Amino acid sequence: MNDDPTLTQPEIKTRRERGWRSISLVWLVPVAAVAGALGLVWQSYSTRDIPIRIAFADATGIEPGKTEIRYREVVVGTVQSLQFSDDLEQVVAHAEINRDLARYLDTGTRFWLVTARVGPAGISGLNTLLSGSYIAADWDAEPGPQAREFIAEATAPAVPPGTKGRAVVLVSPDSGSVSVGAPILHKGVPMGKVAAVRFDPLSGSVLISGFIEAPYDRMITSGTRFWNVSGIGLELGEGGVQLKVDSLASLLQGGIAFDTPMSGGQTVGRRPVFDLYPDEASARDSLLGDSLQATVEVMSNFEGSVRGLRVGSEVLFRGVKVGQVKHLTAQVEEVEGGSPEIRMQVIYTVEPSRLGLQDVRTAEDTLSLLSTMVERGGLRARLMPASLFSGGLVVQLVEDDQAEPAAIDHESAPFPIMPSLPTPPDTLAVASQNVLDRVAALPVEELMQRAIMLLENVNAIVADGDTRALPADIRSVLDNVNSVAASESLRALPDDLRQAVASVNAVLDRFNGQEGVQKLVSALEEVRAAATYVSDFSVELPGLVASIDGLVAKADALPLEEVVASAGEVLQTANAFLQEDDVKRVPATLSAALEQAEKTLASIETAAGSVNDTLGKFEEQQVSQTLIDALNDLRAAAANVEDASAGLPSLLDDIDRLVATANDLPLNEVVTSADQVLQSADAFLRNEDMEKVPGALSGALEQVQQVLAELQEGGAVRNLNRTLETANAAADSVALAVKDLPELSRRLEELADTAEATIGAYGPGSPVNREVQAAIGDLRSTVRSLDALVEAIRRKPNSLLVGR
Amino acid sequence: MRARDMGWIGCHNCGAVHDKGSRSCRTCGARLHGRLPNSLQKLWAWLVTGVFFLIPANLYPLISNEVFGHEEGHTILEGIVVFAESGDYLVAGVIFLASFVIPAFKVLVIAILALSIQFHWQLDRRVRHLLYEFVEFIGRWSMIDVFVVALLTGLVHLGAILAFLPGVGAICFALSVICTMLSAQALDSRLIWDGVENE
Repeated sequence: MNDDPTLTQPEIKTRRERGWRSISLVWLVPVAAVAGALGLVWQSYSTRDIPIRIAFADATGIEPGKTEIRYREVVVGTVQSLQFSDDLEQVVAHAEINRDLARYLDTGTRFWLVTARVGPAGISGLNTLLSGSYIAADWDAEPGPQAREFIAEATAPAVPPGTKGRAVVLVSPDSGSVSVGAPILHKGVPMGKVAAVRFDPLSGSVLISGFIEAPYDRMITSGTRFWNVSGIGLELGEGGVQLKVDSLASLLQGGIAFDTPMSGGQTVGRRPVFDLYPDEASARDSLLGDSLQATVEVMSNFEGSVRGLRVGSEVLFRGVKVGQVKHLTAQVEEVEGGSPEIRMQVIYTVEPSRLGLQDVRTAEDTLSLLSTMVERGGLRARLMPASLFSGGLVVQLVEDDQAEPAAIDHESAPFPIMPSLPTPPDTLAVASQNVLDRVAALPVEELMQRAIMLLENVNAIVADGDTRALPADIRSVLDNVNSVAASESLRALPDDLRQAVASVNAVLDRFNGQEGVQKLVSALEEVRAAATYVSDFSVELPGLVASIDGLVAKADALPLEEVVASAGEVLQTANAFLQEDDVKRVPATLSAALEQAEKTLASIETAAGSVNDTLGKFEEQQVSQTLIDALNDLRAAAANVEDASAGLPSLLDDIDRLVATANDLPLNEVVTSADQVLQSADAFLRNEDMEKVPGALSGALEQVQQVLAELQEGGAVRNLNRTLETANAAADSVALAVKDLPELSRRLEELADTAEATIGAYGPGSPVNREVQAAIGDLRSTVRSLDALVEAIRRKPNSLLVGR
Repeated sequence: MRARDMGWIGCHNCGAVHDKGSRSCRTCGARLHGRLPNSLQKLWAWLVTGVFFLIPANLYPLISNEVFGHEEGHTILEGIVVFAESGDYLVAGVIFLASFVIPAFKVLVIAILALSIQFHWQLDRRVRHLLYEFVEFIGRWSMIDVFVVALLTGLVHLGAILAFLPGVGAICFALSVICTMLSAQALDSRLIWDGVENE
């Protein structure tokens, strides 16, 4: 086959170039691939995740390799594996976090598990229902001490991570049903949330961490006050019923409101501490109060009863509230060589700013200032009545210069002891108590008893037979009068009188003729002038009246009790007097007196004749002339009166002086004298002479009885009886009605309460109406939110599955 | 007796035979070579790249299925295990064959051919030819995995509930297959009997 030598010689040869030129460019392909791979490896190594460990109580919803760690909803890491801690108390999730964020992983980093949550504050984490739980992380932008091991929070923080604002700490004696997530409101607008509620065993109080969102956090100053608005407040006051509901959410999980009523408060630090007050009133009331630290608690021991003092009672200094009572206990004090003494111990607070101590920062400062006031100013605590009528007590801090030296006992536990003073006896309440005691001690009942006995005796007298005989006697007297009238001589009497009148007439005629009238007129004029003069001076009477007023005031202060006692004795005596037999004999004596009167009438008959004679003589002796002379004399007398009235002012002065003197008089003695007089009267009544009086009186009274009997016959008594029976029946009805009265009044009260509540509640602009409207508003917004949710689901059903 | 021995050059593009000395094909205008230049170098380069890509193709997930927003990836081996555990031994077998056995075998065959040419191994020409034919035939089946991934990704896309996404492994696997195919292509089959003739 190889017969053509030219063909056997290969002209076209495979090039066999040596060196690097023989290497094909195609080798760049694997080189590029390796280089790219190496680059990827390097990149992956340089951005490799940081391993961290997060401890959970349990691994609910955490799946190794799947559960993500998110920061602001951006996945920054994944849980790689789960392990138990050595003590099996916790589950430790080993996770890897993006390297870029490694420098933020400091001790302040928080992790918590996000799962679907439905609560009063709303629904959150719905997307985790399908995609599974994830671990949320929160850290700030300031790198701190690095950390790689963390303990997960049990619950998600109420405040979303990264929210701008200010954290506050509220100190409260109890949580007041405030729970995590509860809104913090200002004028009803939610401006923050409660982030945590925990009990601090050191201070024994509840610390509530709250968060106020920006820009509202600027409102928080040292003058800000927080108070609890949880639940429903029902207040019954003079303004009617007041129902307080702040929002539905606050009803369910509590709520806190704040306000800054005091302008010019200082700016506060990063995590300011405030007191949480139970209600708005006490929050505003505390405005003068200083910070919690400067307020001190002190104790005082008081002897005797502290009835009327209660927790919350005021502590007053010069009438200004400086604190309040915190606690009341009894303290047994061992006394050497004697029985143990029981003292009432009162623990109360004192706020320094209310004492006028301004630049006080700590409780120690306050205490030292109080010590100075106790040692130098004589500051003491004592119990005083809050008011005349309530019977409540307050603790009063008084400055007593005369007080024995004392000092605050700093050694005593649990609080320093403030020295105390006993309650002074001359306080108003004590005085009024004394007056009441004296009034109560008056023997009023005894007096009444004696009066009753007196009336019984009067009754006995009236019932006496002699008294009844009296009318018969009177009738016989009248008969006698009749017979006298019918007598001849009496009939002649008119004629004699007529003659006498005629004589008088004559006298008057003569009187007329001799200018008697004119003289009379002038005399009267002078009298009138004198009267005018007197009236002018009556102007000065007010002063006199004032003096008399003083006199009356003095009389006011008299020992009336004794007088009353004496009066009681008098009545007793009178009683005894009436009980005497002699008194019962009075009617008989009276009848004798009437007989005497009969005789007197007979004498009148003869007297009439004498009158006639006298008138005759009168005419003859020119009486009118004498009358004119008399009038002259009268005129002169009137002139004298005028002169005398000129001296009236001085007279008034004298009276004034007299009254003033009377004012100064020892009226007590007068009263004592009056007492004596009454005692004398007593003695007088006991006198034997008096025994004769009753006889006559009994006769008179018997007659009265008779009259009464006649009255009875006339039907008046029957009518009266009937009236009384009717009245009785009416009284029975009243009694029955009274039995039902308490029930009725209770019902009326209920009705009134209901009506008040109803009227108060449903009036336009009433609190209830407002609250109901607010509640309806809440409901409406809830419904709106639900509407929005439904709408969102309708539009994007898969948002339920994938989250957003 | 080869064309070369007769002073002829065959166009490797259209197969037209030319006299020696011709520079370009008179029918298709392609450049004429007695043998393809640097054939073995290209073969090795592509083969190395293909083998290199096989490493990430098996380490990274071939496919990710996203169920309810939660993504889960499987490497080739994991996928085989999943199918085998769920009882689909046939599917598991097919995937194992297409993803492991065939690529490995292909790489091995190309390597043997290249080595035998380079070092003038004394192999039976019939065996060499069969090996070459096998590489040519099996090349088109190498892409079965990539094809499955592309199908799943395109067809199964149920929004948020279920979705398949191609993983890094799929891309690497595809690259690996492409590289091995190029490697096989780079082999000038005429080199196979060059050595035989020389013996």
